[in-house]
This record gives sequence, C-alpha cells and structure tokens, in this order.
Amino acid sequence: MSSLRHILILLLAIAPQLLLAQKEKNEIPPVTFKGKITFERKLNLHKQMDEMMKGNGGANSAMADQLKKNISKYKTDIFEMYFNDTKSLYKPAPDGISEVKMMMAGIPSEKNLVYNDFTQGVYTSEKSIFEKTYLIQDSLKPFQWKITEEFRKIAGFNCRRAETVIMDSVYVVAFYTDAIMTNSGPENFSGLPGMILGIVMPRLNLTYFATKVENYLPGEKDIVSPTKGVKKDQKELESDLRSSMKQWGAFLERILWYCMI
Amino acid sequence: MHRLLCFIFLSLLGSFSAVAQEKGISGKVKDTLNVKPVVFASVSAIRKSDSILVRHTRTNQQGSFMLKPLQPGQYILLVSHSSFVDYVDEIEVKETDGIKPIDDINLYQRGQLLKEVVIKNSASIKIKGDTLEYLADSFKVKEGAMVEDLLKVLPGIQVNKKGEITAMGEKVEKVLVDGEEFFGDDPTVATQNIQSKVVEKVQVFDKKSDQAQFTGFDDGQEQKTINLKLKDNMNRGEFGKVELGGGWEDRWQNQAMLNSFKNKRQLSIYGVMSSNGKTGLGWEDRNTYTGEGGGMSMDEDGGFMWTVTDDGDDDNSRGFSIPEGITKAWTGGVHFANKWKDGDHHLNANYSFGRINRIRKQNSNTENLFPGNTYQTQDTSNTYSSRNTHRLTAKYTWNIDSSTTLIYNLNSRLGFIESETENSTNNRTYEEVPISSSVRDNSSNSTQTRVNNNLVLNKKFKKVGRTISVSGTYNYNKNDAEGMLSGVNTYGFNGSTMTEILDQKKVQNQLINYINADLSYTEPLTKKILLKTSYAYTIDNSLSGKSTLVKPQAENDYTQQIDTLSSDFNSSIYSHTVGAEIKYNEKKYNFAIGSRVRYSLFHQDDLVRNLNYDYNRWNAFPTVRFNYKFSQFSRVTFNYNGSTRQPSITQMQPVQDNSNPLEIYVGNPSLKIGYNQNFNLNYFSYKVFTGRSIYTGISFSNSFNNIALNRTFDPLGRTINQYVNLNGGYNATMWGGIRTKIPKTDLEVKLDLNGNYGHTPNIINNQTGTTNSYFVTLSPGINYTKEDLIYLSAELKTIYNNAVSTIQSNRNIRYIGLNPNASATVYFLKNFEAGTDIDYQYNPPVAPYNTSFNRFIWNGYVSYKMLKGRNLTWRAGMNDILNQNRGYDRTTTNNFNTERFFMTLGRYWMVSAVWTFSSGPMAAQHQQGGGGMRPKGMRGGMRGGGRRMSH
Repeated sequence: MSSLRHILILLLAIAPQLLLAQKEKNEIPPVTFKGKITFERKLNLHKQMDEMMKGNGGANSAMADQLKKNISKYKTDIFEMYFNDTKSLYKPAPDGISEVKMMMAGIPSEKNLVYNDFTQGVYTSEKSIFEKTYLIQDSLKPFQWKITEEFRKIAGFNCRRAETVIMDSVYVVAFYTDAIMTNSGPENFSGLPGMILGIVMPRLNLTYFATKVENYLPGEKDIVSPTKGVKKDQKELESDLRSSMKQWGAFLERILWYCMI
Repeated sequence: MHRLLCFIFLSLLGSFSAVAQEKGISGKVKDTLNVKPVVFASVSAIRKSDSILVRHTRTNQQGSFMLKPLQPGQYILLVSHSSFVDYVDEIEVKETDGIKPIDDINLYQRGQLLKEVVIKNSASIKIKGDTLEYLADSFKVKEGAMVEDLLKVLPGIQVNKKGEITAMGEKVEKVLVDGEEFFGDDPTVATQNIQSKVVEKVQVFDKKSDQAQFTGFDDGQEQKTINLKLKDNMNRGEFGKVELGGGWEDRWQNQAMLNSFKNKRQLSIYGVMSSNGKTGLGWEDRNTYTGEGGGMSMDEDGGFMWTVTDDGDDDNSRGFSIPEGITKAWTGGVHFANKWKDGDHHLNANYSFGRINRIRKQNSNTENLFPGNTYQTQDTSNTYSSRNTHRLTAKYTWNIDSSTTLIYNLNSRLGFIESETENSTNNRTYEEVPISSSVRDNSSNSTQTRVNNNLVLNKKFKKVGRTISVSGTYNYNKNDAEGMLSGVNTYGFNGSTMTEILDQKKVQNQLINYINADLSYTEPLTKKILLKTSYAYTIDNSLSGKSTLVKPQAENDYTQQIDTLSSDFNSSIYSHTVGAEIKYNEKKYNFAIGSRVRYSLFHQDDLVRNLNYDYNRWNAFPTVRFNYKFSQFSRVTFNYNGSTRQPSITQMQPVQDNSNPLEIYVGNPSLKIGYNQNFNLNYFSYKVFTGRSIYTGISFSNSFNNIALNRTFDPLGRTINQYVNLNGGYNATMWGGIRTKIPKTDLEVKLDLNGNYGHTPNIINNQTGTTNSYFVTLSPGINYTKEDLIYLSAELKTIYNNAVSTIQSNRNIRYIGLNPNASATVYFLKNFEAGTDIDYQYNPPVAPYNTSFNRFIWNGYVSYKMLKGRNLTWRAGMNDILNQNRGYDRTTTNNFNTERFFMTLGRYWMVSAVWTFSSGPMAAQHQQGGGGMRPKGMRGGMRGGGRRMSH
C-alpha cells in the first residue's frame, strides 16, 4: 500500500511538468485575394537527354552519358506572379532564367509571360520560341481536372492534388489551394477552385512549385497584358509551329508539348 | 470575381429562363461553432463517374452558393475552406430538376482539432455526408499498435478498460471491417486483433435500421457504428496476431488470429485458449437467446415461450467488474464473407466453437423480512459446468434487381451442457433456532439444438416509400436434459423435526416448432407521412415433458414416476397480429405512433393428468417515438412503449417444481390482465472541436394490475408463492454525464450522475406494504494524455443508497459506498511500456450487513516491443498484486437483503509474447511504420462521398 502511494505521488509530481510542454502551432493562412507568388521551375536535364536519345533510336547513349557529365542535372528558373481577384500576370523574375550551354536541351519557349483576365475569361501570352515572338490571345483553356483526395503542403499552403492530360499525351499533376481566391496558376494552367501552387509533368521532366507567397498589393503596372509579338490564337500557334518545324521529325511532338504549355 | 461572372451569367440568363430550365444546385454553408455563414468557401461539383471537376464556385457574404449549369447525373459535392474540415457528399441532379436547393451544409472548424492531433494533411478528419472519417495514417500510434490503440488517439473516440468504445459520447454497437460484420457482435475481436497499420480509414456513422434503409423513411433508430476500411493493398495479403502467455498455477492465455483478404473475399480464423476468464469471441448471441430460469414464461410481447434452465453467461466478463468463478475456455471460429457479380450476391458466414469449463463457488446470507417474522437464510453452492457449443450463422443477400432483394438468414446452435451443483440452504431465526434446511446435489446433462431460418423478400416500388416485404420464419428448437437430484430436507417446527430424503431422476424433453409468416406494406401518404401496416400469422407448437422418477425399491432402477412432480404438455398457440403505424418525417425531426394487436388461441393438453385447456387472449402493444436532431451530433429522443400483460399459464396453473423444496408455487386462476408502460426521454450532444459530450436521460415505468408474488410463510418453514394482482408500483431512473477537454491542456474531465427511485408495493403473508428505495451515483473523473508518453485517468465513484420497507420500517438501509479507481500507462526507453491500475471498493457496515467491505485491487504490467516493425511484444504482468480480490455483492429487494460472496480469480502473474505479422503487399509497408505518408495506390481520384457501405 505504501509503495503504491509513493508511485501515485511520483506520478502526480511529474504531471504538471508534462503539462508545460506545448504543442507546435499550426498556422493556417486566411483566404487571400491578392499578392505575389514566386515559382521555381525545374527541368531535369539528364532525364530530358535520355528521352531525346530514346527518340533518336537510342544509339547515342554513350554520348549522352558523356554530355551529362558536362551539365548540371537540373535547370532551375524563377518566375513570379502578381494577382488580384480579377487578373494575374505570370512572368520570369528578373534574371530568373538560367542558361543551358547545350543545343537541344532546355525549353524552347522558356520565358513566357501569361496574363489571365478572369472577368473576360481570356488570356494573353507572350511566347518567344527560337527567333519568333508570338502574342497568343485566346479564351482560358478548358482543362478537364480530375480531383483527388491527396494533399501536399506547398509554401505553407495545403494543396489538393488534381490531374489532367494535355495535348492528348502529357499527364499533368497540379496542386492547388482554395485559400487563394484567384483561380490561376503558373504558365496558362488554371480552372481549379483556387491557386495552383505546384505543377508536375513527368513526361516533360518538368516541375513548377511555389516557393513563396507574399501578401502584396499589386499596382496597376504590375498586372498588365503583354503586347509584343505576332498575334495568334492557340490553334494558329500550333499549326504555325507544326509547319515551321517539320524538319525536326521525331522531336517535333516533344518540342510542341514544351511550346504549347 | 467568379461571383461576378455568375452574376452576369445569371442576369443574361434571367431573360431566357422561361425557355430553358437550367439545372443546378444551390445551398448555404454554415459554421457550426459560431452559427455564422462561411464566406468564400470553395464549392465544387465533381462528376462521380470519373472525378472530373465540372463546376466550382465560392460562397458569398451570406454563405450561399449556386452551382450551375449542371448536366443530369451523379456528382460529388466538395466544400472546402482552409479553416474548416472538408465536407463531401453525393448529390444527384435529375432530368426533372431545376435549380435544386439542398440542406444547409455545416462545416467544423479545423483549428480546434489541430490542437489536439498532429495533422499531416487536411484530409485526416473529414465529414462525408453523415459519416465522420479519420484517415488512419495521419494519427500517430506506436509501431505494432492494434486498432484499439488507434481508436484511443482519434479525437471524439474513447475506449475503456473493457474495450468498450464510445464515439461522440455514444456507445458503439458495431465494428465492421470493410463494411462486413466481423465475428458477430463483439467489437473487440476486430479492435484487439487487427493491426492499426492495415487500416486506411476509420469511419464513424449512425447505422440506420434495416427498415429505414429499405423504406427510405428515417425512423430515428440508429446504432453508432464504426467501419474499419482497410488499405487497398490489403485486398491481397495475410495478416494476423499470435499471443502466447503463461503463469504459475495453471494460468494461461493463448490466442491466434489469421486474416486472409483477397478483393471482396474475407477469410479469418480465430482461436483462444485461456484460463483467466478471457473467452474472446462474444459467444452467445444475447439478442436471440436468454437463459431465464426455466419452465414456461411469457415473453415481452405477451406471447409464450419456453426455456430450459441454463446457467449460461459464458462470457461474464461483460457487465460485471469482476468475473465470477474460474473459467477455462477453448474457443475458435471462422469468418467468411464474399461478394459476387458486382455485389449482387453477398454472403457473410461465421462458424464458431467453444468449450467453456467453469467452477463457481458462492455463499450468501439473506435476511428475509416477513411481518412479525424475520429470519435468515444461509446458502452455499458449488457448481461445475462444462459447455460445448457449435454455432453457425449465415446471411445471404441476393439483389435480384435494383428494387428487389431476397435475404436468407440462418442462426443455428448446437450445445452440450454438463453441470453439477452442490447446494445447502439453512433457514434460521435470529435466535439461531433452525427453521428448515436442505442439502442437495443436482447434476444434469443436456443437449440443445436450435435452428432458426428466416427468408425475406423486399420489394421497393417506384414511388419512394412504397414497399412490400414478405417474410417467413421457421425455428426448430429441441432441448433434452437428464439429471439426478439427491438430497435431504429437514423442517423444524415447535421443537420437532421432519426429514425428507430425495433421490430422483429428472428427464426433460422439449421440442418447439415455430412458424411465422409476415406481410408488411408501407405506403407514403404524403412526402412526409408514411403508413406502415403489417399482418402476421404464427403457429407456435411445443411438446414439453418433464418426469420425475424414483426407485420403487432401493436396489431398483429409477422407474416409478411421481405424477405430482411430472408434466407432459402439448401446447399450441395460433395467433394473428395486426399492426399499423404512422411515421412522420421532417428534416429535423420525426415521430411515429402505432400499435399492434394480437389475438391468440391457446390450446394445451396435459397428458399426465388428462386435462386440456383452451382459451383465447387479446393483447395490445402501443408505441410512440419522437426524435429531434438539433445537429448531426446532438439530438433528443422520446419513446413510449406499452403492453398488456396476460397472466401466464404457470402463474395460473403451475406445475410443482421441487428443485428447491422450500419454495412452493401455487396457481391463481383469477388473475387479471395487467398493463405495463414505459416513458423514456434522452438527450445527447457532442461538440467535435472541444470534445465535449453531454448526455442525459430519464425513464419512468409503471404498471397497472401488475402481477406480483405473494409469499406466505408456512408452519413447515417453507415459502408458498402465489401470483396476485398488485397496483401502484413505479420506477424512475435518471442518468446524465458530461465530458469535456480543458482548453490548452491535455486534460479531460468528466462527471457522471445516475439515480434511481423505486416504489414497489409488495405483499407478504397476505399483508400489503411498500418498499421505497433510491440510490444516487456520482462519478467525477479526470484523464490526462500526453501522447506517446503518459496516459493517466482517475475516477471517484460514490454511491448513496437508501431503502425503506414498510414491512420492517425499522430497517432503513442507508449507506455511502466508495469506489475510486485509477490507471496509468507510461512509455519509456523507446520500446518499453508500463501500466498499472487500481480499484478500491468500500462499503460500510450497515445493518443487516454486519461487516464492512474493503477491497483493493492492483494490477500492473511491463512490456517491451522488439524487432524491426515492433511487431513482437513481450509482456509481464501481475493481476491483483495484493491478492485481495474476492467477489462480493449486496442485493436489496422488497423483502430480503442478500449479501453474497463468490469465488473469483485472484492473484496471478503471466508472461506473454504477442507477435503480429503481415505478408503480401502489406509487408512492404512495414518500413513505413505508423508514419504520416499517404498510402500508395490511392490515385483512383476522389471516391464517392456519402455513406456507401455494403450491409
């Protein structure tokens, strides 16, 4: 009996100290209407090279291994997006685009500007593809998003996973948060109930992830439509690219995928 | 902005609305805590067939939303907001719908929940329609933990020492595995034997009654149910648990379970060998079989039923805090479930076997209160019993088409029971003058066969609520028993004594054939009113023989029958039952009122005395039910039940039963019909985020022309019992409790209050009196939980008892009893765990109980987990360390006070090893342990919401 009493006293003595240990706080951002998001785009050059070689008949794998030694595994670029509740502008950050010292590697249209206007349901995009500059104007792309129950935390936001396929061939995974009211995303991805903070395209070895979301009031100059380039709509862009790149043969489709996003 | 689009769209459309009817959904989203609209919640319509997002919007300042246009079809409605728990439900848009308004959607704040659990992703707790769903991997449990350990860490769920589960403040009645009933009704089979890591989701919901599911009319009768949804890759694989344990003095506990699941096919095997009172499977199906004394009695519907004496209570660890007697058990079972042809054919079958040997020893002192004549009874009895039971249950469901279902139910049991009882009874006055005594030795051997068959055909019509159901039941019940009774009865009277020597053989045979045909039809009178009518015809035939045989001469066999102690009845009851009930169903509440009326024709042949009885009876059973739902987790219910009570044939014309020669039963043919009624009011509420639950209720019952026993004391020291009508009795019970978390701490406090007041008229020696008794139990308690470190709980239960009998008004039994108890579990040195619990009981001495009762039970154990997946546990424990355990209870009724001491399992220690295993795809998951990653293979997109379980 007395030993029992001792145990009880001991337990009671420990309890208050345990009480003091606090649990970590889990901050949830409130609903956001405007701000600035920094995206990091990563291209796996080594994998891309493998794909390219495969497309070429797989003959030059020894050469590919040699080339890989000379370039870093990833090409990393920084983009930023300004948004309010009616529009958004996605563009490369100052000095955001890195260089790849290799032909054929990288992304043909690597510095897109995308302006989304949600009141009109249209977008304007400036694309520099090789020597040409296009100004694409079209209605917002109608993606068929498949919603899943998976979640991932990106830049402090809980993002739900959604999936779709673009151009009948490229599987796209998007992570979006409904804590941001603007239904936008990197490049011209949109159409989910909130902001897309992550995009993964395994077939293109390409990922986009937000690294920072700032509460920032964009001025009138921050969200303006691009104006440079030859005006075309999406369809016209595709047929134009197809006809002007016929000689690319096996690579054509892959290059098109990069160009069309 | 989207709202703006919507607005433009709307105003544009307004002018055309007369032309094209647009389909869509509109509704309102509310915050349950602040009862405020939720602004800017995202509302999405997702096509059910392929999880494609079809339409989405945000709620406006009023919390309202409008999703349109939508094509006709099945959708999943997803409502999400970063501050709230996701809401998911299924919605159908019909061809004929316009803009369809739906019920208000209540969201639960996530913030509060986050404080209590480490949430790995926002889907860890979710409300799907009326199902609360926990994602198992989001909750941290120790490696190698069982489902029970997982349930303990889920907010809103408590598991007590006995393994009973409470969810949202209500007791959980069923635990399903992948929607299947698992080894019958005992939830602990699933919770204590399935590893938590094989579980993907824990779903908590109120299972509606089969009838409500069938007619689509909510009758408010719901059972709190937990479904353990196993991980997808568990569809292929084996998992299980093996436990081996032993201690000194013949104490052992071995247990094994193996599960093999493949797609829809479940196969499980389970076995237990134990000598410490743990019988494992819930052996007896208590709902369908009750051992009630013996002979003929009336069931609650006023029908008649026969039972054979059955000291059954195979698993007395339920309900009692201390198991009575010493039990050795060998039990085992097989569970099989499968579905074929897209689930149109569904089989769930269970076979189980049990051998349970039990030794019980008890002695009791009873104070008998008779006017002017108080005497005491001392009774000692030792019983040895052995029961071998085979049980087979099966349910086969065939969905013939979308509106027709055929269900076959089989419930069969074969039991062999052997028992032997030595018993001695002494009646003495307080001056120690012997009145009578009896020493008896009773042995019996019986075989019980029961086969219950039921076939139901349910048909739904196009009109919602119109249904017809035809059912047929055939029950076969055969009991054969043979036994010996030997003993000596001594009666003392005025100084002289009389002795009677008993040496009898008893043979009992009983065969019951029960056939029932039932037709019921439901018709919706309006959208909210449902009429249910039913008719049943029953034939209940019973052959029941009981012979008492003695030896004509000492050397002879038992051949001579004593007619006064023998009976042979052939009885038949033909009854027609007609019922009607009206149900009214509103969104928030529903009520039902109705009654059944039964007309029975009774015919009995007494083959021993060549007599026959014929009579007919009318009985009525009115019911009223009311159910109001304030919210999903808060409701009030009211029930009224009444029933007429016809005196039974035993009460009017009893057969002498000399198993206790000091108790004589005499019939009373002039008994009047009685009426019993019961009122019951219940309230319960649960708040998800604060974890606060409140329940309270009151029940009142009384009776008119109650049938009671008149006990008269005869000069030979025997008690003559005769049934008489007695008015004025009532009983009131109240209960209530509150349980809440203390904010910003890991403490949970609770307070339970129970009370009962009984006013019982009684009649003794033809003199009427009353007994008024009441008790109040107050139990404050506290829990402290520091996850993975320490669990503490303590409760101080206090009972105040007061009983006054007018027969002996000087006997006012009044006392305060105490029952504090506490338990602690500590985790240390990574893989060690130690636990201890104490239970102290104190009852003061109060006349007529001369001794105070003190009992201090202390148990403790240490365990160590090893191997990679922590799937081998060593455990050393000692039960009742101070060896103080003795069974004790006090019973105070009308005219006697009994104090009983009985044998229990005292101190013992045990060392055991528990190994859990899994193979197939599960084995790969080992490395992942209890971490928070989402299982792979979940890419199937959003699954359908709402409750989609196969029952």
